[in-house]
Amino acid sequence: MVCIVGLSAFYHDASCCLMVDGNLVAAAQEERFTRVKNDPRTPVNAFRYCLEEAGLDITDIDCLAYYESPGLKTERQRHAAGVADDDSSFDPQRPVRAIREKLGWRGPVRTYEHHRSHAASAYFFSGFQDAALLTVDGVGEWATTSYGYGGGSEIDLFAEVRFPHSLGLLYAAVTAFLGFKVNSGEYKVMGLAPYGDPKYTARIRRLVENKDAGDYHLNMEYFDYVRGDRMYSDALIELLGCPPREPESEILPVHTHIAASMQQVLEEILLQKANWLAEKTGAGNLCMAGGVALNCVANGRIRRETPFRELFIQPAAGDAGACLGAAALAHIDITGKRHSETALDAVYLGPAWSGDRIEHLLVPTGIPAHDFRNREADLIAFVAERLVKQQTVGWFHGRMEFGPRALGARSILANPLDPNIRDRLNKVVKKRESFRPFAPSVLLDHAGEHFQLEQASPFMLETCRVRSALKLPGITHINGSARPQTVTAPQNPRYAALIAAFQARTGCPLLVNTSFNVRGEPIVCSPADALLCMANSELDLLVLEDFVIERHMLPAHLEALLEVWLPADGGLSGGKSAVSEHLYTFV
Amino acid sequence: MTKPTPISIWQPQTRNGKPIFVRPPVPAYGDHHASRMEIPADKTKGIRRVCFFGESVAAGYLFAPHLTCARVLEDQLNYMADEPYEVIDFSRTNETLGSMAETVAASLQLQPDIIVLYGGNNWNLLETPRISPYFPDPEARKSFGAIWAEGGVTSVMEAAIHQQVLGAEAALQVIADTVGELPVYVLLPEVNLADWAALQPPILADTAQRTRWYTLFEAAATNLAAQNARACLDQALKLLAVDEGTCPTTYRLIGDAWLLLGESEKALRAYRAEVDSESYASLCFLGSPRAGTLTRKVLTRMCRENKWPLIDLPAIFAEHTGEAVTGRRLFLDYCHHTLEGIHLAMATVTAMILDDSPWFTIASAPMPEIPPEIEAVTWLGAAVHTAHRLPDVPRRKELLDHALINALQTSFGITETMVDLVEARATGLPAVLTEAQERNFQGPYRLLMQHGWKYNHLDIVLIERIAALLKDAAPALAERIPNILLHHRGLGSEPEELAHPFYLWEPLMQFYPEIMQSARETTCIRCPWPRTSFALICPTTRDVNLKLVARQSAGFPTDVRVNGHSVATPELCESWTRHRIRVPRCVLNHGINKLTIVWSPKSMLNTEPPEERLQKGDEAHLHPIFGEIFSLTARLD
Ligand SMILES: [Fe+2]
Repeated sequence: MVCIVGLSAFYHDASCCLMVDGNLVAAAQEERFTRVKNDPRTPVNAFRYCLEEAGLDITDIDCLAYYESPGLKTERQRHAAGVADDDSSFDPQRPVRAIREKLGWRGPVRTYEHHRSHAASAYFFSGFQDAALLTVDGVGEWATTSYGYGGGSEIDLFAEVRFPHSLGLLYAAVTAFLGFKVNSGEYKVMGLAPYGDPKYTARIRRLVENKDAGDYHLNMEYFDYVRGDRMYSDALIELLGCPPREPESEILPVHTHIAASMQQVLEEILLQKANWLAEKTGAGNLCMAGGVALNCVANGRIRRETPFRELFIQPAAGDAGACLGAAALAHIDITGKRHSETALDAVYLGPAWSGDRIEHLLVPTGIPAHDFRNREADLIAFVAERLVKQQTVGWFHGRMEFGPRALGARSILANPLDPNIRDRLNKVVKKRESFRPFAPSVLLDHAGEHFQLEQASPFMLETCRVRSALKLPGITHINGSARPQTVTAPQNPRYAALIAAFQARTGCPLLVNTSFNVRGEPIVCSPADALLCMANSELDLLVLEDFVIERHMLPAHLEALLEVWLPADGGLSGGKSAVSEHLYTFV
Repeated sequence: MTKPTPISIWQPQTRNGKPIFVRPPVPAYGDHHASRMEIPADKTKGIRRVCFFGESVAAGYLFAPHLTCARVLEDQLNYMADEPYEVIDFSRTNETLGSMAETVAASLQLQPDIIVLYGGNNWNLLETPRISPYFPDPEARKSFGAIWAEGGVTSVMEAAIHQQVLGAEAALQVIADTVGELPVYVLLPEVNLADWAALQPPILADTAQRTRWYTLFEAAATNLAAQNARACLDQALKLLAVDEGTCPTTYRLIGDAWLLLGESEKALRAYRAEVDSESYASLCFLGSPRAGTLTRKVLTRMCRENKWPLIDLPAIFAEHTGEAVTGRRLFLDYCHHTLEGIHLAMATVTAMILDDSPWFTIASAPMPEIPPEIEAVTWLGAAVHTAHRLPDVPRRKELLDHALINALQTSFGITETMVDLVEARATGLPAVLTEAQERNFQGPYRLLMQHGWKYNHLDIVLIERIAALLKDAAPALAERIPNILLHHRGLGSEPEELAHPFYLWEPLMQFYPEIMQSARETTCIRCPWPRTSFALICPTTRDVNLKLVARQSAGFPTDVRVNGHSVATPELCESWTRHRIRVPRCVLNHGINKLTIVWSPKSMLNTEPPEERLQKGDEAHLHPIFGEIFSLTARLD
């Protein structure tokens, strides 16, 4: 047995995966267990979970594969901070030391370069025998963009753009300028873009000079990565001619214009790079990963406007997913063979709870849930009816998704025909900015009737045009686009059946699907998380596997008591206060 | 007139044209502050105004909001004095020196006639967190490491003490400067010396010395249990020579031995030394907030310099009880008062303010009264606290039973609450999701935040005593407890992971997760004491199969025991190894079983020296680790 644990950690979104004899058995992000969003700490809980899922323990592991090279990263960090090459505030030994200590691991740890891990996380899970490789993110060690070619079990990264020049950091700086959180708010900029006109394109182009082939340059006059609170210099404020938006403040037209311009420039550059890569490699397939590969608007254009016939984007394209690539690389190093020749077709790689376990959990809550065990058809009919009646549904089914998207395992579902659904979901359930669109889950067989989509899109990674005869305001963006997830019975039978039941009642083969969480919180993992999330939002219905809970069934005082249970802002790792106000205290 | 500014959480407002200060609504589970909702800014003519400041002890912790020190003081003053008084309560749990000084300054807007300060227990825990090997900031750890490398643990203790003194003096000086000529009454805090003990591993770098320490400790503890006071004292004094006074455990043994020999003054000195040596160590291990000698010295000096009246609680308590070493009569736990304790402390303040004799006031003022349901909840809260914070010392069972029996005797209906608490814990769910908690919330015995609802641990030490006491007091209820445990936590055919903080028998073994979150971030159970126990919940009908994945230094025996019976002696080594162990049903109890790994006192794992790690900015366990458990699963055969 060859048992490899892949790890990402210490920047943001720590995660862990387990590969046994080439089978990806489990993968999960640490945040889901600690309930600290984007938790970067050693993924001790995810590690334990992966082993438990496989029925293994630490003595069964052959090696740990870490997603970047600490030595190179330290070199770059010292350079960026402007300190000496041996400055001890950056310690190249620390990541591996922390992994060993926190996980208790005493065997070999293999490290792979950051972009190599990203590239491997796409290529080795694509099922392609040959492909061009494009990885784009903020920064790993030195590389920020890599170009390569994958053939068989080999990856050749033949060109790269190096720090400080970075499309990811450029986008992040504009994200910060627009008052969103760097490393997690980028998709808000993408969502804001269609509301504006690209009036600032000329100015954004002054930030980045696109060059021939794979190269581009940032004009560093406008950036200041070392400043902790933002990533741009005063020159950017001057250039854009408006003050940076305060977080949580009103979004003005100028902000939408800046977002639109940034998005347009990003798309231009990515398209040119992808076209160059197609020419350079002659490959018909393209694999993508890295945080920028989560920009589904750009991805949609790459598919439509480059010569590549097939596109595979790692669903967990950000750093969390890089642990998959590290594990795949280690598998090749140990066995000499690629772990799999087939494409990753689903990301249900997290923990699941059986109906019986959920019953066991529900009994002490006193919640008189409807029990649909051994009556799946009735369950589907019940939930479909409620969706028709425009209720919002928390849907907890099967193994939790790996990656940033909820794909019908930990999802909030709603009726896309409801004209007010977007505002209602935004206000009462998600508690977030109202401009952001929701994504639809659509039965693959009917996708073409409603979307300009030529291929399956199981991971919600690309946008396309809506061309439905139905009015679908809940999922249609202002520019007429949507970001669909295509669903098939083999991938998720119960979810497909639910959508089909909704279609039978309404003629509409799709549902609104958004992640099961409230603002600022990671997606729910356990039934208890789901119950707390329901109490903390205004969800009408919660489906926990075979059990259905209606809002009125929740304990009478749960909402009032909940504030004590919800984690205090910032946690304790910020180093500000040693004692939290919201904890059970004793002094 | 200047614009009013907030006082602590009280915000300035106007009502009917009059300025008032209003606090945010009290959450359903209570919070850290007094329950008074609003304070008029202007004094009523003829009523003397007292502003009262302090920590959890002053806030009437475990009694609040139903009874607080401030309310008792107000009642006593009005009972004893000719003119009316009002006492405004600014005490709060988790109070720090800095925020107390700020609140005092802001409270001057209320034009108080008198200030009362009752703090000091928190200083050892809250005032020097940067001098901790677990502090989140690597720079703080580096400076800690530098001090350690320079002069060992004694230097670190001195640095902590130095920092604490400077901080306390500065904060008290700020108060002195702001209050001017206002009279400030200061209480000198006392703690539970008789019943509350520390059990901490020594911080010793040298393996031979560590082994010697643990061998001596075992012998001294055995002698103490057998009432061989002389032998215990001899061994404890040898322990002191090994740990050089850095380990509170040693002083506790010395104190207990002296007490057995009838030398209560010597015992008192040893117990005081225990608290003093704990005042640093509690930052990195298992301490409680308790005021030590240093705190009393600083307060005494500041009172002398500013001519503030000083209320010497240690002296009052000792004289009142006739015992040098005060204990459970006046304390619910490590430092929070019983009703009698509150009465005594506040009567002394009353006497001081009115320039009366304290003994006259103590005897004259009526004892505070609260409904029996509330008092029973307080005692149950004290039991919860004791189970969570008192390590596995001989007196723990006694103290737990004392609190639980008081709860039962005060109001028998509390038994239902006890069972609800057991149920909420056993589910493993956040208590807020349980029907048991909902039931409790609606009944007369409502447990609040301070009673430990939010607690992610099975709490087996508490549950075991509740189960035992209810057997006599309420047999029908007692029978339910093993069934509740078996229903929620009972083993089945699927393996259950016991090497999880939830199942650790000693909750303190998780360090202080509430305070130092980062210490929780390891995937295995590190064992800093020669015994590590887990709760094993199972029936007696079948054998139990265990799978242990653990490590320790090779060549030393390890004993796995269930309810005291040895069931296996696996050979462990530095690498992880897996061992399958069968527990025969004949050694099992129906419901609660104690599964213990007994490590050899010589089996300490070699780890990188803490000072080296700290100097790199890494966290370090200062105490030896006997072994590590990655996994300990159990299932029915
Ligand atoms: Fe990355």
